[in-house]
Amino acid sequence: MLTDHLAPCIERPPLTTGPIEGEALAGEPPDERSVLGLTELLLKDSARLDKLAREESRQPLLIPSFLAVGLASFSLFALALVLTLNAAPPAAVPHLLADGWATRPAGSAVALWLAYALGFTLTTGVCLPSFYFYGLLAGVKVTWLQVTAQVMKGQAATAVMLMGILPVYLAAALGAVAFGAPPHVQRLVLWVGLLLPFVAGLWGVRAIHAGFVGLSDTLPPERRCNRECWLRRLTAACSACYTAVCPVMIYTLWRFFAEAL
Amino acid sequence: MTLFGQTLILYLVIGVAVAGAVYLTTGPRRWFRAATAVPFWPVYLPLLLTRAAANGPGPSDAATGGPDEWSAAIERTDRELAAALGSLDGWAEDVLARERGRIRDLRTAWLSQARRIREMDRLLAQPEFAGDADDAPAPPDDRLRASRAARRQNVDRLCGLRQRAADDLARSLAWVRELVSMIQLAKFSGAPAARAEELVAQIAAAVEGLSAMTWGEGEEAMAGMVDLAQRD
Repeated sequence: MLTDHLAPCIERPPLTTGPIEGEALAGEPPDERSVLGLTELLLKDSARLDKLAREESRQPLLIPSFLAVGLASFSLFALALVLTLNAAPPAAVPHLLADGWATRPAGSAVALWLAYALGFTLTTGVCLPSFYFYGLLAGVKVTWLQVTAQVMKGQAATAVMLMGILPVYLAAALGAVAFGAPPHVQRLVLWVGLLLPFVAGLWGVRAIHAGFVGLSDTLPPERRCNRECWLRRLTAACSACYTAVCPVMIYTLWRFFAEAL
Repeated sequence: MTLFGQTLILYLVIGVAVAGAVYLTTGPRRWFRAATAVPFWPVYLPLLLTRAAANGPGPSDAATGGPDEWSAAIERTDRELAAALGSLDGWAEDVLARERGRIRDLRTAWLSQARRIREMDRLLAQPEFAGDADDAPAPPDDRLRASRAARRQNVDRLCGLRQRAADDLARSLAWVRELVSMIQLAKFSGAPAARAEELVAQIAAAVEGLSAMTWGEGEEAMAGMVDLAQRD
């Protein structure tokens, strides 16, 4: 009988002292309908967010919210990068940007912002059909909307990670400028800055991978073991494709906007 | 104009069309959505193509009053379950690792049961199933009369099936919540680890109970229909 009295204390359970994953009692749970609440969930309870991203009724709200997180974060990053590039001496500006930066600094700055702000989401648009197709190929019951929510969640995770590492980078970059580090060191630091979103993107790719692998519970139990392995490989392949497309997209956009502006 | 420029124009034309549709179909924050839909229309297209894109419950959902209620109940139970299992913190870890898959399936089973109930609600809300069509005068032909009676009987069975599915889901959710509260009680009253393992195993077993009930009902209903067909 399950409702009987509990056995006397023979073996004491360990008392939990630190914060517990998924613990709702430790404080006010984040508002899952607001952008800030979802950002908090991205940081504290990604498993919960995975579940939300699977709910059909939540997806129409989640997708624009993730998009807002991404746009805000990449715009802030681009702003920080532009300020750093402006603070650096012309000799330290990476060759890729040097010409445009010397002749049309305002246009180049706007082009850089547009490239980063638009690039990640446009890459999502390009890779969405592949993710959907790969999911179906693995036998997962998934809708296009669900795939979109999962990939946008990955983008938002990238954005949050980027915001986490940006202050550290900014301190290092401004330190290099303020203390007059040699131009080649400053150039290296600026290159790191240009590549920073792709480093943070690995976190987003991990989130996408986890979200897709979590969908394996829609597979029939008798085939789950084999198919899950297949799904893992397909998702890893697609995530790699996403990682490769993203820099190309951003570079293409930057070149286009730099010429146009 | 370069090929890239031409493609961009085509892309933006589609984006404007999608943005217009997004503006017309969404509720709050529609300006943000419409503005971002111009450059990011591939992300918004699935929203438009899915019925769920409409904010809040659709008209048929509102008529049944079910989806929000079930979703909220499943969400609440799932949250409590996650918190309870998270707080085990090494206690009954073996059984938790073993049963993780089945516990994950439990939520899937709840969601699929709720979806099934919603589909039945939607069907039963249609006038031809709601009994409005029975206002027609009784046909003189016996065969037609029998057919109409059989149809009514099938609709009644469907109503019964819906009710049982709803009861089963409510029972399963209540049962898991009860077990969750017992886990918390066991944890703080210093019960042995075996007790927690037993409770976790019972939660995992709840998924089988739900699936068995679902399939059992389906088979029962099918048997009833075959029986009716044979009688005719």
